[in-house]
Amino acid sequence: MCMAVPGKVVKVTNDIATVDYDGEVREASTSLLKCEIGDYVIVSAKFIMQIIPEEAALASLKVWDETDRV
Amino acid sequence: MKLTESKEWYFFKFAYPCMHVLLDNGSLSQEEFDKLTELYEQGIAPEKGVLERVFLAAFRRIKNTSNNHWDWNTLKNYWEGMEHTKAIDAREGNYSKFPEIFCETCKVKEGTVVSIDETNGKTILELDIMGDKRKFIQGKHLEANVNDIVLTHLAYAVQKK
Repeated sequence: MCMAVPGKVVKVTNDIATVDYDGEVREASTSLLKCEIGDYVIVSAKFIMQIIPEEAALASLKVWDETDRV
Repeated sequence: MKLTESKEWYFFKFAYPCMHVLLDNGSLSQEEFDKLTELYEQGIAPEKGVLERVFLAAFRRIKNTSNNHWDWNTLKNYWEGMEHTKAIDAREGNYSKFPEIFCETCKVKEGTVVSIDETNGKTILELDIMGDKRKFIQGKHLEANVNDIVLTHLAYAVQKK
């Protein structure tokens, strides 16, 4: 299933965004899509590929919490 | 579809973008992800059994559409014939639980190449997808030119239409 887990952008420096996944942070390139601090994003192959409205992001995180991810 | 392309590679090149999602959501180990990524970068397809195990949900859907899930027509119908997209639109399985915008990001889409750039060792294609300009990573073995129509999956432009 292609469904990605969204993260929240906490820092943007040049072309690199720092994305927070419930306390775990990872970096992703903004070369495909620019984003801002506070944005909820989907990352694929370490590239920001989609900005997600907060409401949708929080709804999906709730599903992930309740769903077997395998 | 190139005549010399194996069925395994054809499936893998479309499915590869999902591997990053499978890694991020814990469905795939880092070790296996690294091994499969190395194969992808070398243009080598994993064995059928590996693909069926890693991309379990995809093959479940494919098997629902055909008695022969490794038939060329079956595979092409899944990726290019939009069976993958139809499953998403039908909100099959876990797609039913997620907001629409998430489902939309999973679909195979087509767009026209409007520009090509190189960033950090990757070729980035800017595509016009129904009037919307979006950027994608050029997938392995794809050599796109401006005005080519290509198919995309997640963050990758996978093949010419």
